Amino acid sequence: MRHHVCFIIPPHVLKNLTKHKDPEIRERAHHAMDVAAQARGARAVVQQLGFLASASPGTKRRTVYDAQNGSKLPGKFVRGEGGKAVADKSANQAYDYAGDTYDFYKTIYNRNSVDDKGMRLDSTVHYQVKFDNAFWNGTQMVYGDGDNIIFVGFTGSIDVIGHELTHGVTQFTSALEYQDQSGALNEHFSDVMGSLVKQWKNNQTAAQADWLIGEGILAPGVKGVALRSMKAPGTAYNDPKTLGKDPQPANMKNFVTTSQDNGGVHINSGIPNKAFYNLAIGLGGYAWQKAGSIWYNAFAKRVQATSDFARAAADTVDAAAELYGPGSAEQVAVAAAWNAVGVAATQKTLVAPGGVKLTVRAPSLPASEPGAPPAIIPVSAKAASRRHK
Amino acid sequence: MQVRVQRSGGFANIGAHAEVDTSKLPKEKAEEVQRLAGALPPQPPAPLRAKQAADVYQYDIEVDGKTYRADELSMPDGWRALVDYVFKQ
Repeated sequence: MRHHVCFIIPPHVLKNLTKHKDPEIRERAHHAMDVAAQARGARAVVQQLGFLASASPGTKRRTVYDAQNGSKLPGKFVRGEGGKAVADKSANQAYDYAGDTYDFYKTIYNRNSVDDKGMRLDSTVHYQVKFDNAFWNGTQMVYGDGDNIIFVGFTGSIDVIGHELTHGVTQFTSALEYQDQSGALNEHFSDVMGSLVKQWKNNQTAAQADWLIGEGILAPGVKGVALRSMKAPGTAYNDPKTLGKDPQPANMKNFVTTSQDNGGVHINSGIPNKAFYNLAIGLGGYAWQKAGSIWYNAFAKRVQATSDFARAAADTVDAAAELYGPGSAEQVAVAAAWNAVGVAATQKTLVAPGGVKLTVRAPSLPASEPGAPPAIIPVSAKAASRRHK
Repeated sequence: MQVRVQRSGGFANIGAHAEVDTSKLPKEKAEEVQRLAGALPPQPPAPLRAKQAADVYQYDIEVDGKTYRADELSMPDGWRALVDYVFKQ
């Protein structure tokens, strides 16, 4: 762990250091107190240090570090909250896009940082040498520079940063296990929120958005537009010399079973990604409003650590009922969106206002093709058609 | 001795693969591979994973049919030395 020495500095000294004129010292003091509080696992410590931003609602705190091409985290302090832009473009991108992601969660879903308690957003740039990856290590975001053959820096795409920070949100909410279907859902939720941050920032409707993940981080000459496409999974790149072909399926019938990539978490996420896209396009308007709210309410409040696709789909159906009413057009659209990718939203009966019963069908594989009957079979077809016209 | 290394996952999920067969390597390199592989435990432990991490690389190291799995944050230095060496060949 970083800054071991800070554990032995008494809290009142740290408190004073948070008001030090040197921003690095201020940030390190804040950080030390966060770490100390976490390490002790003591609610009392957090309360005692209640003046901390981590306990004050609606406070954005960002810190950017530079690993200077090494592996040690977090690295050298570069920029803290409110600090001026620095010469390093990657550091500024990490700072700015983390800020956009914070603002998005706060403004749209009233979530105060990844833990909903104002946790500081730490980013480290220039990790290792020509590192072709970005990751969340359980505490912070880490970005490589790319090798300039396949990738340029990973901080250049706002959705990448939204994606990584959302892994933090998942860690503090559903804690979806990073393996197989639950892992693919973890990846999926990060893609959804990463894309929505971008759409919100660009003020784009679902129809206007590109629905790409990692657009702008591929090196010139690589045959591809991004790393993933939520709109058309499997089509983001096709370059035999570098990346190979985008392996994402868009339907359960093409689900990939593999021991690589934690059971294909970055592959099978294409299936729920496409379901979300279906819903967003089906509902129209800005995707972060209805579709995003349904997903946020499902993934941050209902989904469990070991949920599979069907269980998560059922949770989104329930979340839609809670937000827009049982039997609402929104709820029907959610079930239809999943059905179109071959995921059964768990057999259950919904009772709409007025006593109309709707059954969410669990279709048997192979999945239904486009144009197949919708996922919701009205028990009383007449009543339902009246309602959903 | 055959050693295969497969990297997978990561945000971009771009794999990388390398393998060596010590019977086809110059003596010096073959001995180095054997020395590095000797640092691995006799039986593979349960996969080593950084619990809260996401988008980190997964490494599968196969030594004469036995598979050792660890992510990049949890991999012991001894395993990493073997991985790095095999990727350089």
